[in-house]
Amino acid sequence: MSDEVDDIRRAVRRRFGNDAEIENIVIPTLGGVNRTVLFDLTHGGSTRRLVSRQETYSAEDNPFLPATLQFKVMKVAFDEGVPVPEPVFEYDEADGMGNGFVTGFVAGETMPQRIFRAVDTDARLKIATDLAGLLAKLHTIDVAKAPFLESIPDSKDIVGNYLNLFDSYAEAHPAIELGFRWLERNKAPAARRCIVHGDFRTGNFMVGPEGVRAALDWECAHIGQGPEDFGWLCVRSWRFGQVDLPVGGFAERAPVYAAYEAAGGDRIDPEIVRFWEIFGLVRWAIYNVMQAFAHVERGRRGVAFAAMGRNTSLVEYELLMTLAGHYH
Amino acid sequence: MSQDRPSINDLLLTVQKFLDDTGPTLSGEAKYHAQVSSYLLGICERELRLAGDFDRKEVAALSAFLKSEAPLPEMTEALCSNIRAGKLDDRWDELLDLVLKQTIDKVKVVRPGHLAPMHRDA
Repeated sequence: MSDEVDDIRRAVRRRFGNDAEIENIVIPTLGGVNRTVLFDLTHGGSTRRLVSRQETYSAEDNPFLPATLQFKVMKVAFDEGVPVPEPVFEYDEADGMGNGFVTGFVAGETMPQRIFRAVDTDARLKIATDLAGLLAKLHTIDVAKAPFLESIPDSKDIVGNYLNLFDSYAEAHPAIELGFRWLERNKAPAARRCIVHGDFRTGNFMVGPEGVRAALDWECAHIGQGPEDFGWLCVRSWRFGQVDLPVGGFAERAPVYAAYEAAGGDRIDPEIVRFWEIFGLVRWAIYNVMQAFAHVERGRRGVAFAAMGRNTSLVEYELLMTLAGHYH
Repeated sequence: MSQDRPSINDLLLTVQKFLDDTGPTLSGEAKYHAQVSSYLLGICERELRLAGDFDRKEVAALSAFLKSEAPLPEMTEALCSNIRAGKLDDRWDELLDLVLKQTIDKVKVVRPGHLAPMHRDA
């Protein structure tokens, strides 16, 4: 049998033997810059559903974690009991499939509006409490277990790294400059260094009726400080319209910080989370600038990328309204 | 150039209406891209209508703030480098107000509904 998943079948058989079969193949169409394939792996009398992800676009200025390091950090998190899709295997040179890996499939919902529609107040608070517990578990892992993250730019000076990225796009943005200046003048005090997810926001975790099932999308993981993940989670854009529930559109801040501490996390200083939330707004604005740059200057064109360029001003507005004290 | 009817704004709105009518009959990525395309045409229509006035206001505000007269891109660059160098730290509230006003105008072009009620046109 030969088909469009031949390469995956070969890679699976190299590892699980020639009796291994892949079936029920689903290829989501909105995979972005990755090739994503869902399939059932059957071998030795058992079947499990898996997900293959391969990088199909890699530019030298790609700010994201290489697939091999994503796989490694997911492995560390999984082994330490953080809910994350189980890392199964990584593609290697002999597979000839470029960079990528296979993980267990976690069923559930990621789409913010669908999650919001499906839950009542208690379920929202449960999700927020789960998120706090997940972060407490991740942030208390010994950083020595992820030495491979130490050398990436975000682990050394994440604010400085984003300033460099921003400069590389060569477009004047007074609002972003103002954000960086505020960050410079209100530096977060040094804190315990830990593994942070880096892209922990509504839309990037899998939710079921009983609560949070897994943290997905580890391409921004690095060594940093715990409040970074809370700052990003509270960025207004990730509240998806539920603006009065700052923690991802699910809950108020205080109960979530309390749940984090109760689960073994360090005490949270709301002012430090505010620093990282301001940084998060700056960072999200820069991502939009980056998409416009790739559209205009790098030939990666498309209506969605063009729209993101113009949407930069929407994030800048939220940044300035937050700095001015109108948005919380 | 004198041009015949319809106006440029009318042309954009006409194509936008076509996309809005056709988009829902498509599926998957094409449906999404039709929505985004309609959104982009809305931006074009508002920018054509509003940019002249906004540019004049922005030049006047920047000129007064920086106490200089130069083309808009040059003044914007100067504003950015002065912010970064810390030269405007002692005028922070005034600076924040200036940049917020400019950003409100950008949002009025891109997605006016995104503005807080305090910044929406009556």
